[in-house]
Amino acid sequence: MLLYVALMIIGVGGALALLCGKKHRVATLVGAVSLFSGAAAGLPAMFMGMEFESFFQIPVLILGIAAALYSPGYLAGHGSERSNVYWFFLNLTVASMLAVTVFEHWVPFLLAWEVMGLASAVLVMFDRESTAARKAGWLYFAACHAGAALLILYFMFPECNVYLSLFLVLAGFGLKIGFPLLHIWLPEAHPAAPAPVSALMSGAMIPLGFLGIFKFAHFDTCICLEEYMAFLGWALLILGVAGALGGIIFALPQNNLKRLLAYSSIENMGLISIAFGLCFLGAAAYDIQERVDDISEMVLFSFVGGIIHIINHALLKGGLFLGAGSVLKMTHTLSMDKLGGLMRRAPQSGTLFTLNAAGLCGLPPFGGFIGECLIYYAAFFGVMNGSGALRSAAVAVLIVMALTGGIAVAVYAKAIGAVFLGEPRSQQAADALEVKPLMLTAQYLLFGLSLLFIVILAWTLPEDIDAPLVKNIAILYAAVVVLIAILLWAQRILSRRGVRKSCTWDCGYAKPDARMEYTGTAFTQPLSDLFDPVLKVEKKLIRPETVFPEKASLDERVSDRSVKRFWQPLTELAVMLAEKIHHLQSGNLHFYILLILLTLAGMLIYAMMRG
Amino acid sequence: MEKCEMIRFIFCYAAALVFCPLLAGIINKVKAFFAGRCGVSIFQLYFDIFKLLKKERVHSATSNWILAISPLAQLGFIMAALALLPLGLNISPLGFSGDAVLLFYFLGMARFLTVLAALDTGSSFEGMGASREVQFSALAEAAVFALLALLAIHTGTLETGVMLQCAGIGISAWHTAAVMVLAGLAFFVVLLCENCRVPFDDPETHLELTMIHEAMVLDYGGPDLAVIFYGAALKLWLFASFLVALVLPESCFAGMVGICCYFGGVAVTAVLIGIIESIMARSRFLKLPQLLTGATVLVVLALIIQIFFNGGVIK
Amino acid sequence: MNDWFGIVPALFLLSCLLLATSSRMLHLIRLVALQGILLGVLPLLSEGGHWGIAAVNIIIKGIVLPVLLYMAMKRASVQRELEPLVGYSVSAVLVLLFCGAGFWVAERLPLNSAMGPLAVAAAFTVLLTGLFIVAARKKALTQVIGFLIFENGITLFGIGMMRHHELMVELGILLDVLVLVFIMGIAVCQINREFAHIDADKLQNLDDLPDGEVKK
Repeated sequence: MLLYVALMIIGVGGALALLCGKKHRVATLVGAVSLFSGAAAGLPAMFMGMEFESFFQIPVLILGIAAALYSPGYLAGHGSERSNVYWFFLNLTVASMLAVTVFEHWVPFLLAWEVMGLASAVLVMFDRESTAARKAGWLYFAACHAGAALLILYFMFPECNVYLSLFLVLAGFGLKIGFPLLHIWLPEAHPAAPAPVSALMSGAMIPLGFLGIFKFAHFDTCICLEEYMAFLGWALLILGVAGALGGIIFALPQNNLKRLLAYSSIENMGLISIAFGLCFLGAAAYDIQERVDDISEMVLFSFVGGIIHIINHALLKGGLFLGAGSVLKMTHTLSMDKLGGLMRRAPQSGTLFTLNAAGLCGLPPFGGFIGECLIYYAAFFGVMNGSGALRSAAVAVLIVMALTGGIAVAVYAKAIGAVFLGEPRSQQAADALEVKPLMLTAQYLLFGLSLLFIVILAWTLPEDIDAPLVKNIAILYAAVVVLIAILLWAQRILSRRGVRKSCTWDCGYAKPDARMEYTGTAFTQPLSDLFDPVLKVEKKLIRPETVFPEKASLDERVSDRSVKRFWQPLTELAVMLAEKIHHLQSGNLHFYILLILLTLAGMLIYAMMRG
Repeated sequence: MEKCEMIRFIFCYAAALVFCPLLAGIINKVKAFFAGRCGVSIFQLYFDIFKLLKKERVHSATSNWILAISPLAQLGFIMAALALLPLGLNISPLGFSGDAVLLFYFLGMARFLTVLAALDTGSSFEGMGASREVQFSALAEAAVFALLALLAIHTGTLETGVMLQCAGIGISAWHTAAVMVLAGLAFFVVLLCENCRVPFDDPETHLELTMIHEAMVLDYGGPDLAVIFYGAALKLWLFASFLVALVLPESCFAGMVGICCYFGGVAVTAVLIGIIESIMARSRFLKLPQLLTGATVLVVLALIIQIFFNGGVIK
Repeated sequence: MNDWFGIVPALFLLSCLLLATSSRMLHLIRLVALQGILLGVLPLLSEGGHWGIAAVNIIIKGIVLPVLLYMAMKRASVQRELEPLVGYSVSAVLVLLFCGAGFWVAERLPLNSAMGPLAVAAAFTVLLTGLFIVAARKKALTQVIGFLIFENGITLFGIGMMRHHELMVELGILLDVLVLVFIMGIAVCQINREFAHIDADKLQNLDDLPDGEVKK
């Protein structure tokens, strides 16, 4: 009930904000207050009756609150003259996301799903002067529609071939989740959208695809449930492995901060997909296996791990996207090779970004570890107790997750190092100033909640979902924090002579400057060289020649290969086919009427044949 | 019994904290022996640490809080990770099912802090070292988790201590012995990589361009450097402990025998590292990923054999 | 005694990994010789002890062929395979995949082998690795070694089954490979004398097309 109230407040507030017209301040006030109060009103509902949908509603509500706090500061100077439009569509997006989680029947669900896609597409195109934003918006728009079309087909024909229907549901929801090959809109839309919208989309909207799969996969109508679940499990597992590894490898060489974060979202969705894949596989093997109890552990831990990672990802990635927004606000650029040294100029933003990034890499003692650890745990159970192919797959999952985690550390070390540490590489970065307190509040809120979440998990998970693991982790976390605090305190006492500041050691060269620093691209170059067979970085190298070289340069470009290798040929094929039937459009009215008649006749014959 | 074991564990933990700088001394002695020198004292690292502790702290003007807290925070994480291992071949009282993941993620966090501190100075040398560190550790991580999967199958548990207790090169069946030899070899490679020893890194060289770990800590001096030296020594002790517990069979895990085997094993590991450093040169950086992939592949081969004898790979 | 039936195939698996990741010719030749000797040891382990087969295997595969290869290597003065078509890390991962495929086959084939499915799995892995080395390396000498590994796989399979008619077939193949190694050995030396290298992939210009119309 409270949720419907929340929905109403957010929706009505958005409409009111639109009506405010040119009065930007009023529009901002109405929009932000309604979004904040609506989302806050919805939160208690989460704790009154915990349902499966709640785990998807929590990110929506929390990121809604964060967006309400963050947006006013972000919009100032970045299109505040259209703030009424912004708030209307932002509120509409949040409201429709809530609606998506609430509806049980597929018709209203799809309606809300479409509204959600459309409203967020408008927000992606909010920066209307930028060509990139408009292009990204169109791409996203197309992806939304293609997904919805597949889903409509899926719901219209529930009795069709099992594998076809699985393909439809996976592709339809996968377009939102960003499974590999279906992900192409993500790295375009996230950099283009305003930061709070990116946070909302990445943290709360794309996981809704998983909700769709869980809710609407035809578990009830299919004949052989085990086979169906096994197939779904394998599909999710393979897509997840490819998404996790591919996503993080493509995040490595990115130079645009938000694009890097977008690829990291693909990676995290991959991890979640791995978790749910293991869950379905275990559930399918549940009855076949003799050792029923053993495999049930894998099912449980993978499911819980996936869910927890969704929430952690929402909180931490939301914080990171807001942090990237602050960087844009401070320096007017997201290109990492032009940034640097922001930690000195904006210590709070920098620290928050660093902590969030460590959390998202799954490093203890932060939130992200718990979800990843549970997925690892599930995979270990699969390795120990699974049989045959499931066990081999679990081994592969473990290795892939470890590798992904290692590369994620590299990716985020690069992001932090290039943006916040060292010396500024441009004047814009040197002139940066800390953002407004309200914007920081939103980030503090998200990070604080991610810490609070650990505590909540440790002491509220029921015994049968094995609280001891999470509880033990939480206790060790506390122990480590205390230990480090004692060590730091002891050092303070010991080093009474204080700290002298000097310049960075320069190896005898007296004038080091920012151009000599290691750039982000250079930092990840060894790893991206290692994965060059996947990345295929396009290099244009002009070597320095002669004794006094005049010009030398290196230009590197990374393009998403799935666009070039998969989508471009596909679109070309589609255009070719379209040209083939182009002459049908003759302009002759009689011909059109003939076509309509033919179609009607055909449908009539089809109906008679079936009936 | 329970209490007795606890006391033994605490004793071994304290011993690890006190004696870990000795490992560097042993390695240097072995290298000196191979080179025909008499070498520095085995306690040299203690002297270095004490001398450094008395000095003033100097930080780069470019740096922020990360550089300042990094050495001690790293040490904290390494100490926490060490507490999860079966020290003195006694199961850790802090251990729980699934702590193996936490152990290696603690080490991951320590590494993350080193890398960030290196980037915090804005020095190009340190960026270079950090860049190499993240590359090699990502690959080593894959080997480690493959190894953990192997141990999980082999022992049927996820608690590090119990896992390492049940594993070991025994003579019960040829394939378990073979599998464990492969696992031990692979973990030794990981140990060399994570602790920046030859052939991954040469702690002796003082040319920034060729180093990994030493390049990352160029900007530290005084008490900070002392903490870093100490942390590196403790990390080496940690990996040596893991290796010893991995290789020794279950029969060694008992009372005083266990403690003797443990300290003996750690010392032997240090000697082994010393021998390897004496007879090998540092590899080219381009070769190192191959070495680490090789370690992973070895573990996976062991895994395939293990799974094959434990229920079938596919069926 | 029974343990050895497991250890020898496991050693074969390990040798496959080393073969796929090693760039030194001398290394490769030694490993192939080791495989030959292992193949000679295997028949001795089964009951009855097939001394004849063991002797033939050890002499031809463990000694004669490696020595021939060694001489060819010296003549052509090639030490290493520097730029393989497929890198060594990827090769290692591929061998693991072959290994998985080998087990997949072994667990499905309705064979009651004397040595259990491990030998069958190892045989398939060796076979695939041999073919892979032929395909993925540039030097003619390495390709010959690949053929030899391939043949070793077939022999391992044959010995694993230990049936007489298969042994006959296998001896026939052995003869073929022997001849092949002779011919290739001579060819390698000739090519080397003529072109100063033995990169097989550079020999595509030897067709009858006029200059400039290089076949792609």
